[in-house]
Amino acid sequence: MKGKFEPLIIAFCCNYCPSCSVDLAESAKLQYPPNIRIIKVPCIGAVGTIHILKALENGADGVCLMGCLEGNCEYSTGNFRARKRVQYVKKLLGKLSIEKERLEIYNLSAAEAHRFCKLAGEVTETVRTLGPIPLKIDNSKI
Amino acid sequence: MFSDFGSILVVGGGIAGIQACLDLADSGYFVYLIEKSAFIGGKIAQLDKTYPVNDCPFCIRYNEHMECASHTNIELLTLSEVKDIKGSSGSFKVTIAQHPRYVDIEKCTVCGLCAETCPEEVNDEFNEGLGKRKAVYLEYPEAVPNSYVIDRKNCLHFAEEGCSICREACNENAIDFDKKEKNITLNVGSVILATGFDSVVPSYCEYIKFPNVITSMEYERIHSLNGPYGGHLIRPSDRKEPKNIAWLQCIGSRDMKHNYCSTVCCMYAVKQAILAKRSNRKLNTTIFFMDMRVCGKDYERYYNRAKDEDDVRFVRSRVHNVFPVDGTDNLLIRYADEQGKIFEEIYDMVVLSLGLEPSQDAVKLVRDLGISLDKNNFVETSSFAPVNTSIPGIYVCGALNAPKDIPESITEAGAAACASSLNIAAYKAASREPLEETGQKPASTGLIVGGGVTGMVSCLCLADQGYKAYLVEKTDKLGGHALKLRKTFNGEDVTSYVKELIDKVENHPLIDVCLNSEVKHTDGYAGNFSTRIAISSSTKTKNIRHGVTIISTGANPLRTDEYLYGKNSSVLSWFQLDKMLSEEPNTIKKANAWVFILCVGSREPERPYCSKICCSSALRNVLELKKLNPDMEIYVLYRDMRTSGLIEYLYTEARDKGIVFIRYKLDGKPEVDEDQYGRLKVRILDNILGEHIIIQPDFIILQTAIVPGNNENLAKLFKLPVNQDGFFSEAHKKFKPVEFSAKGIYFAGLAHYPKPIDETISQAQAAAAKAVTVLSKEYITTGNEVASIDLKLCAACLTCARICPSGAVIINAIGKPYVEPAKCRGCGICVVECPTKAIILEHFKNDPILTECEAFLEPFTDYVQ
Repeated sequence: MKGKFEPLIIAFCCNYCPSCSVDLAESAKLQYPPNIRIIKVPCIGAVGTIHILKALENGADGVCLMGCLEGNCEYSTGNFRARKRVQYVKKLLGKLSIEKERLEIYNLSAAEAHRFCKLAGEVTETVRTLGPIPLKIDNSKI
Repeated sequence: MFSDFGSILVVGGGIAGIQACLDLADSGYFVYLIEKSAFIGGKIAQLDKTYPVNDCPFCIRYNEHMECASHTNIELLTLSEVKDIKGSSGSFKVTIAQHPRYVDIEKCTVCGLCAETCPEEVNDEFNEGLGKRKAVYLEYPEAVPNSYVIDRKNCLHFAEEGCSICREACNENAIDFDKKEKNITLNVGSVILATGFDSVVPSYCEYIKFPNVITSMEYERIHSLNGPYGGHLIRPSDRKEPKNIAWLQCIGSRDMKHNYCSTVCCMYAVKQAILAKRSNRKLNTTIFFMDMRVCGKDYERYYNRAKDEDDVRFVRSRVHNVFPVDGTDNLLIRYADEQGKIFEEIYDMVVLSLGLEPSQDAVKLVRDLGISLDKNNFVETSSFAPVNTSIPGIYVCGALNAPKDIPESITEAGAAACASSLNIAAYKAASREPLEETGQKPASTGLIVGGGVTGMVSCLCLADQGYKAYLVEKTDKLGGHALKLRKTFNGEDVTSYVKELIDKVENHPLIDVCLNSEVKHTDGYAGNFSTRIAISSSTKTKNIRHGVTIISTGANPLRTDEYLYGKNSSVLSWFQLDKMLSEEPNTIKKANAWVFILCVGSREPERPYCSKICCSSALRNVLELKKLNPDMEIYVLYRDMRTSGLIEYLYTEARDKGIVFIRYKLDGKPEVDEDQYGRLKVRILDNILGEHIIIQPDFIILQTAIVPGNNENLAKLFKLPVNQDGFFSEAHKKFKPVEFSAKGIYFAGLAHYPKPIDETISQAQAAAAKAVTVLSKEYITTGNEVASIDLKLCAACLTCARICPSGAVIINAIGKPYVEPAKCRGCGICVVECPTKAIILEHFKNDPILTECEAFLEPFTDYVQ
């Protein structure tokens, strides 16, 4: 069965504020695209280059990181580290001829359920227009 | 099930009950929690936001609810009622009737098929009747215990039809209609009553029948995201957005029947108005009030913000009726302002700020048990034992002994836990929580800084449970400011209480009192602190290893120079009056006129907080003066009379006795002059007359503000936060009133915020209860995953030590890093930063993020192709 292209996006969410926003969105029954798969991490600073690249290598079409608002990190600088790391990985992606837009980082407070849904929609739309990630191995051709 | 008398029964699964349970269970006691309804959580779950932080209360308390249901030391009995309590302290025999749930908690998967198919729809009490639910229901998706329940009263199976659609729909066979009511008998050592409050709808309030006149709790549900309208602020009659909303204060409080103040209504109305304003900037919000009683920590700031930034209109008035406007669903409010002029205004929606009264079922139980109640059915307690009822072994916390706010309820829950465990300390249950262990024993000693009433009470609580306590006091004697006090607001003798307390502390074998001493240095973590204490008279220092620290450094009265204080000998402060009352009653009897000035230094731009205790202490002294000489004239000049809770009785009594109350505004402060003979003259604008009046008193008493002590040094030493006013900041303003965010350090008393002696004592007990949860552990436990370093892989680049936000990585003697488990908070930053991948988070051995990533991606790839 071959349908319309549906991207798959891995969203790393810090266990503090952004996860609260996600929970809030879910308990309020707000809708966000099913393309987003959420992985909760203890701090957004705990997401390494390896995690982002492995996700893309294993078939994710996009990756986004959701950290707490700047200055609000439970561990003081985790979200700054993550921002720096995202810039670094973007550079790497450029070298691999993968669109940099596939990777993005956002800062969310604990009460932004609506903004989370909006961002999820935007990310999905961006990646959808970019198309499937060129790294993806097409099983049918093997 | 434990059958020995070492267990404790907690009645009521609201916020206070849950907190008491957790404090006890964490200290190793076995607890039974009895809840009347099908779910625990009480009123908290219904609230949309809490003041003054605007947090979602449920989101923050959810973990506690879950913990309560799953804790190995807690047995939760829902749908249960206490029928009878027999026996005496240490060995109570409790009979409990447990109603069937009809749904097996173990089997129910909360799929919701039963509710989907159930044909019977009824009003949803959780949404205050604004929405509908089925006869088989879950209050809200995250309700604990997380299982559906059948409401026997409305279920068609129990009516004539004998419907069993839900039983057939259930895939798990979880529904069993044949379950019968059970009688359970428990043997417990102590009982804690935490049955909470009901909202009062007074009989004179006939306008409640109009559809757009709603109660405060209905408003909470309307504004709540999981409420009947999905968080949209619309009015019930036509589901349209209101353009203006009025809040009417003191409905069911401060009237002839309920002659007490419900404490929380002012603040929740302010909160609701702020949130309404934030959801719709064009909305007009008006609060009709008598006195704005916002006397908790940071509440005054919140109120000022509502006035100045959020543009909420406050009208000091008495509303005498609400009428429907013909042809619309709008409402006409007729009110009288301070001068007695009548005004009329039309509103789209009216919210009644309902007062609190003790819950009716509980009053019946309490009365049957023979516990003494006051005239409004609140359980009577003493200021010095704020959680003890008239029956030894039965304790009370939360809104059952006086209307109170969440932080005070949580504090009292801790105090009740402390008191009830002292009662049965010999019978400690053997069951302990299997938390992760670091293999290190905690030091079973406590350090208490500050030897006032707070410090002494905390000390005794620890020592009576068998832990050694060090009490460090800066001055040369114990007692602090309480030595200057004579009586509490309800007339109990403070002097003899303090004397007795000092005596107990000084003679306790487990208490080591260090007078003239100060803390010089401290280091460590919960369970293992080490502190150096210097004794000022000598150069000697003393090193102490202790498991917990309690800060109880207190606060001081403000030294003012306003109103000729310090210049004229007849202008006195409140503690000078206290001294005069005990030493020179004859001088007092001779004086004819007195003026009391309230809010001296409080609620000013440079000190924007209420000192909480001044109104009540002024009124108590006023009444005492009046008793000495009934002919004297007494004028009380106030800004808002903040006699919240049962202190309102004093205000009523003072007005009955003919004391004159004159309100002044910040920009029209009383003017105090003296003539050449030193005779005083006070000039003030009387709001009711609209004219200036002149009083010539013999004495002026100033109710000066309470200011924090020099907390900055201590804050630096212990790395603790202080707020803008200089008081210590708790971990959470609403839900963690005695804890700092650092584990193992607690605080109580006036170092937190000005408060009366009963609240101080319950806070001191609560801090001790929290401290015992650390001290009672066999090993120092950590609440989260911790990182550990594989030294075989480690290149000793020390990146981890440099970047760790908690300072948990230390370099050991061989130059390699080591993670201090009790300090590590498990963020995982070092794990990704480590260039040799030598660090792992415990229990996260095969990089879980990667595993989760792969698990997510595989099925999806198949699906797309």
